[in-house]
Amino acid sequence: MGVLGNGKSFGGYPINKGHRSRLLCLFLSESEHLMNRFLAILLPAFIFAGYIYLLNTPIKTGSGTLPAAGIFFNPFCGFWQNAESSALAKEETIHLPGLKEEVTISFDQRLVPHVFSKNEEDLVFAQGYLHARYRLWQMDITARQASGRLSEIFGSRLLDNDQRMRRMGLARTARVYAEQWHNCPEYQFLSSYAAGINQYIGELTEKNLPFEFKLFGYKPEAWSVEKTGQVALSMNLMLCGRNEDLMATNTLEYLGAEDFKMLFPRWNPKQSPIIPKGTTWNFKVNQSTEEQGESGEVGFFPGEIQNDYPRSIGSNNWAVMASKTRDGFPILCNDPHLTLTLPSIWYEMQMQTSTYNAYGVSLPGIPYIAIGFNDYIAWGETNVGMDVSDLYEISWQDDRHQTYLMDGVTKEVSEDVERYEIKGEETIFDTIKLTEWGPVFIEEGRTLALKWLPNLTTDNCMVGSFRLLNQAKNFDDYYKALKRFESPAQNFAFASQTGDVALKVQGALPIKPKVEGQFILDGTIGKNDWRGYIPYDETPFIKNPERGFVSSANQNSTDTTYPYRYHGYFDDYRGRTLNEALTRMQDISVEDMQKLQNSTYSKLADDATGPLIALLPDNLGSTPLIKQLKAWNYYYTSDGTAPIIFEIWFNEFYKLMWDEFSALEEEKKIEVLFPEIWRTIALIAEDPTNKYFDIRNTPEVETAADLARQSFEYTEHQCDSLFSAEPDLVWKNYRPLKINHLSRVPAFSVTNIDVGGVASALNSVKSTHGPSWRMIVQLGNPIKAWGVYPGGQSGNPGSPYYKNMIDDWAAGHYYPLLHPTNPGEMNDHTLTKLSLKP
Amino acid sequence: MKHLIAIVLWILATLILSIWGHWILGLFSSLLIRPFYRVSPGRAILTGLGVGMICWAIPAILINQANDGVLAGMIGNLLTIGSANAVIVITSLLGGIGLSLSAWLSAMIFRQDILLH
Repeated sequence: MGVLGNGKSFGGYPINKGHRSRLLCLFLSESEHLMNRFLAILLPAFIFAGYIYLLNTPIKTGSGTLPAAGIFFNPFCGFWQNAESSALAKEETIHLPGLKEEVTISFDQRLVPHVFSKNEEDLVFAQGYLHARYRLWQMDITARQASGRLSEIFGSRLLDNDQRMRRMGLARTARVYAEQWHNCPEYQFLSSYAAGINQYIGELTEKNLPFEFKLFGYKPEAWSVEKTGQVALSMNLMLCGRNEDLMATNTLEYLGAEDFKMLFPRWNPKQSPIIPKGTTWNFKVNQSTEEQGESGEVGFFPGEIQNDYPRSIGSNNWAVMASKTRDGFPILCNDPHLTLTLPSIWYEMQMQTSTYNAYGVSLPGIPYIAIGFNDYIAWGETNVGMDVSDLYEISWQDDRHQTYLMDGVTKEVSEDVERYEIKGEETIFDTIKLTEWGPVFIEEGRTLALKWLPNLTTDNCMVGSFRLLNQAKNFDDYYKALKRFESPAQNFAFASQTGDVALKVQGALPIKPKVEGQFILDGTIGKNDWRGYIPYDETPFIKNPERGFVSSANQNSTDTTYPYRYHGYFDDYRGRTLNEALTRMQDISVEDMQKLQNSTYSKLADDATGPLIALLPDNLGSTPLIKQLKAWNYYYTSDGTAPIIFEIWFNEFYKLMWDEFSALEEEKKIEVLFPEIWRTIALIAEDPTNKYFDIRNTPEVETAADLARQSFEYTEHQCDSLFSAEPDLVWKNYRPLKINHLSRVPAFSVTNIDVGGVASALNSVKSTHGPSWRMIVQLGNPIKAWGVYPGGQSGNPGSPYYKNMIDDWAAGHYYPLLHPTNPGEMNDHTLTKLSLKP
Repeated sequence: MKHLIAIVLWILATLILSIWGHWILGLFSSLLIRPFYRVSPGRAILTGLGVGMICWAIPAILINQANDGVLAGMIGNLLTIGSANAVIVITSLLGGIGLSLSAWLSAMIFRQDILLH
């Protein structure tokens, strides 16, 4: 390209008039050429820029947002980088500045890490590092869920859920926990654990970011002790977040006190409690705790309490004494039943340092082993169903709802302003009113404040208990370790090499007024408040009982002779099955325990089938379906058809029987409590003409026999259509088990798992719930253990270790749990080795 | 032969920029390679498409093989487009289109070079 001239020369050459006109033409032609070139470049430049923009822009769809295609699909740092090879490097060394000394980690063939550290701080640091390396997104999303921050990632569709979490107070309480834990002896280990996580987060690049962060288009935040508190609170939400006060109050209003008592008795006479019936208590309760509490204004309460988790989540644990076992060693078993997810709620590992050598499952986000064993003892947990969540009706004293009445005194609410940063939308603010009872939870005409135990247990350092259990050497250590465990209350089973077995119902168990918080209480009366907590030495406990075993399966902790009255949500069947089986069994082997954990026998079906069949008229009593039911042994095997027949029949019977309750919910738009199954079965036998057998919209007065016939005819019809549409239909297809990815994206979930079981069986499998970890520990010398869980060690859907244990779990198989005392013993079992060096 | 060498260099430049730089930088490799590969815009677009598809498909195929198609299969399921192979095709097309557009742009920027030669 030339240089334009000054009129006398052009490019250094002299020019005349003729030249000038030619140069003008040349100039004009050059300009046009430049313009044409510019325009010619503009089109591809525009299209290319648009394409780059598209590659970097997330795509909004009706059901959510798809990740930016370029970022997600490019094979250099997109999702492809999360597609892991099954061939792992034999050895890897990583330098971590936060460590004091070298930590050796041998991963076994299932990718379970065996961590050997010279000091405890490094051990916990390494645990944090491993949790983050394999489960970072799970930890992040669990903490976000509890702190009500999911809408930051998933948009406004999860705002309701976030608001509920914040109203319940989980985020506020996590902040308080973090402050209180500063005074805990474990604080330095909580900090080391967080530092280990942050070490891993600091190493992340766009390329090795965990898969879900790429999928949902965000980056992990630094971990903190507060986030550990959020994860702990998320467990509380799952295990003791249930509240039926509103439903119970509405039901009481509808039924009246007499009928309520008849349909909802406090005690199931068939119940087999955790502490055996007839146990004597060596303490008395102060009479003041027996004062009558008062319910608020009678009337139906609108509103809705969203209970995210089923009434009885269901877990089993037991420990049998050496005298009952074939090899002469105590055996401890535990299978906590929780919502089954991918990644699994558990991360299995061994943690060895100079002072202890623990193995078991840990909760990503919380340090130490939660359920497991060491060189001396084993421990396991099931949930305690006691009600620790109460609602109080607030009586406002002004139109702006800033003052409320309590014991004749007007009190002011304090306010918390919550900020919600919603993805793709404007930030919104929400004010939460705080009363002396707790946060205002429902404000729809009538106002209810929530008093929830985890918000009050500010010394709730479950980490402290876990640490002491990891280190425990005997019964005394175990008993001391539990003292610091406040919430969610657990039934801690224990067994030691020295032959002790024990079980303690442990948690901060509120002492309540006589109505025990079953109904909404009058918030204007201060004496409706809890009266403190059951003292540590008075919570239900049993050690080395005559019957030779201790056990729990979420049933009532005690019989009615226990000096403290309590109300809660308890299982009525598994405890009976378990106690009957353990009482009967002698010369128990590990294999016997495996079979028992996997038992699909249902006491509920056993209790109900006979009475139902007996109600049928003779002409129906010999139909093919009834013949099948008569021949059934009440096992919910995966290939059985009798369980389908029973489930359809019993559910229809239950629906017909409690039609008044469904109608009430429909008519009044309120939530009510339905009578329990055990009470329904008891009424069939005890009072078959009870008025509640009558179907409200028919002119006839029905009895239990009428309902049995009607529901059976319905079952015959249903089975006809089901089995003609699918002749090979069996239980596993009728009640398919699904293990959802935490995001509930079907592509990363596993469906149609070939497994038997039902809620009322020891193998308590529901459509999305089940045994989240099965562990059996034989306390010989050395200790031997077996375990399995439905998932895999890696949280990465692209890893061969994401769901590799599901089939073995479903088949009832166990893996021997390797528990070496030094890294050298791992050599033959090592898949890959990781050295963490300072 | 000259063109073949230029295409190999182009592939190498794309991979180097994408792996050790940033994946978007890889899409600009045509600007680097242009002085050695002077063809008409139409031919540049077609070659860019091929180079881009190769550069994105090869790593995807290798990773997918080592992973037994697990993750790509899930992505195919997520997007309801079928198998892992369909995901590889989408991946390679995204890269191919990017590099073809970039090649078109560089061809237009350096169009005078074509006229001079």
